[in-house]
Amino acid sequence: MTPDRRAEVDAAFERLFASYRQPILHYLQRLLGDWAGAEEVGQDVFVRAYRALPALPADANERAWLYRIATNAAYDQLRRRRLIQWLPLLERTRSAAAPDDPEATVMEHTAVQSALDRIPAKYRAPLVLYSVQGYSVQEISTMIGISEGAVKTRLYRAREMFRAYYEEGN
Amino acid sequence: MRCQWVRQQLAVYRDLTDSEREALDEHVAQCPVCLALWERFQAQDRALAALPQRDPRPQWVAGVLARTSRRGGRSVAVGRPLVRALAMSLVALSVLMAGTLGASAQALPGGPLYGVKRTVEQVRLTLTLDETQRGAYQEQLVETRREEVRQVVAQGKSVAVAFQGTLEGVGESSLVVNGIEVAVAPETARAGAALVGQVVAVQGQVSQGRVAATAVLVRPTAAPSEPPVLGTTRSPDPTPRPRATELKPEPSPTATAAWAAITVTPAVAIVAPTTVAATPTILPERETLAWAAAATRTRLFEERETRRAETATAWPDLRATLRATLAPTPLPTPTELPPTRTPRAERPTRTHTPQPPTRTASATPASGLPTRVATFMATRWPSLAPTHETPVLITRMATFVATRAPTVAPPTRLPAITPPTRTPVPIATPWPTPQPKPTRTPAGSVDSAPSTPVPTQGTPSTTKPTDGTAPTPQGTKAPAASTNAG
Repeated sequence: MTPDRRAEVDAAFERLFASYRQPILHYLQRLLGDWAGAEEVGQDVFVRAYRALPALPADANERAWLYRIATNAAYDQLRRRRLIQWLPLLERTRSAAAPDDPEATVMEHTAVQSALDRIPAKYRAPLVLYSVQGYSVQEISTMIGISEGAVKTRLYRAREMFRAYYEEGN
Repeated sequence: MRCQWVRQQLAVYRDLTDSEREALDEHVAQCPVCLALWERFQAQDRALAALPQRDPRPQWVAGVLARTSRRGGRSVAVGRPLVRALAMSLVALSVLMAGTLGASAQALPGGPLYGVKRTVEQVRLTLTLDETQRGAYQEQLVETRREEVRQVVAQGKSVAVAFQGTLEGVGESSLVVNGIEVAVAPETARAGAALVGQVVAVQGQVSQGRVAATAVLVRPTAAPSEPPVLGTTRSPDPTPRPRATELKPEPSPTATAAWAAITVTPAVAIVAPTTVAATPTILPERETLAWAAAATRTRLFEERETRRAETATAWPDLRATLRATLAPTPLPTPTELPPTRTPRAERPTRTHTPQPPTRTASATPASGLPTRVATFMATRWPSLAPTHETPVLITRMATFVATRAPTVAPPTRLPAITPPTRTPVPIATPWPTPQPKPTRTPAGSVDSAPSTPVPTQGTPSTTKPTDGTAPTPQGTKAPAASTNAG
């Protein structure tokens, strides 16, 4: 790779990193359930993106491509961890919530995160992308790599499970 | 509109088209179940959107930038746990190997790491391509072998050793090789003429603080016009190997006295050195082992010759005795046998009747059939005794039987064979025994030469060839490794 090309890639990566590091970290946090794991996987995600950036077409959807990398990395991490669905509520650390929130809000956030953690990863990812990140069905289908109909089906099932786990936790 | 379809569409209400939203709104207004579900979905969205979000730590940002772009730009494989574990394993293995190699450098024969040490030396020797460095390393290895023997002797271990060095002294039943005393027994295999200052290869066993040699080989040194080339495994020998009759000791007094004082083991190939080289050639180890094998073959050959001589005088000529006891007996005359078959129980026991030793040019009767077949037919069917008028069919049948059971020629009296005269092989004589005990001197010194004259030993036995050429001494073959090229 020529020095000029290397400089272009570096500039594109720095721009990509600045735009998506926070949403990617939040997405990973919702998928993995803890902030430390999200930072560890997030670092691998951006390093993978940096190595694959020279081969990315100019008209490609960078956001969907980056979320695709993050989703696969999160799945790999969950597969290595072999997380069990029935995580106890108290396992949620205080770091998941802002330190200055009221106690009720903290409890609410803990319950929501606990219910979210109990949902299987393949249903959790579209729910987080749709409800937390605010992406559309079409974007989610590109990010995860499934059809729009499959996204809708998984979203419905994820919502049903979230409702059941949330009511069970409360 | 079915409620199941409505519920699935409510899950992605935000992405529906306007017409789809209107249809769902109409149904939700009429269906309380779908309305409750729609409200729950909205609450979920609000709860999930309200989850707190944290900004990435500056350290994390710096870490990512350090591993990417121009500020880092390295492979991130080491960041993964699996690859990290693999890298740690490789580091641990490298440390272990380095420790093993370092510990093997001090290993002694019989130790657990001695094999590793020898392997490392061989690899290093093989990888040394420069001839000068190779020769220097071979010298170092030879000295290492001697040092190992000294240490093993000092520690009182019991192991097999093999080393080579310069012969510094010859005792009554021992040799001194580079300061190492080697005990020599009568059963020790020896090859070559022992001269102080020559290179000898010793193979033996260390026990009770002493080295007992099982094989000692002396290599003749090169002439001064052809100085030994260090580093070469086989030095070329442009001059033909001298024969025993052509050997003449040099007029040098030291060499003459040393040569005259040597008691050469009979039946051993003799290659008399013309002079004693100042710097004997270092022998590679594989040549040492080849010489050890040659010495063993020499010893076995001598033992066999000794046994053969003893056997020849002890055992009589059994063959002649057997022949003398065999007496020629005439052929039995054919008799009429009863037509009926005798029961087996009443049959007489068979006895072997030796055939007459006479041998005629044609042992067949007038019918042309072999004698054995004719006899058989005459005894069994006398009425069908074959004659020259026998029908052709019977003749063919007899011939077929004859081919199946060919006639065995009767033994004949062989001419007497005179066994060759054998000269008894004398027992191997010990090596020269200088009276004064040699003092330890630096290598190459001849201070340990005997001061008193020792009686000269008999000439080696020779076999007289029949082609009229000069007789050659009996003995083993000279070490072939020293003459083969490459």
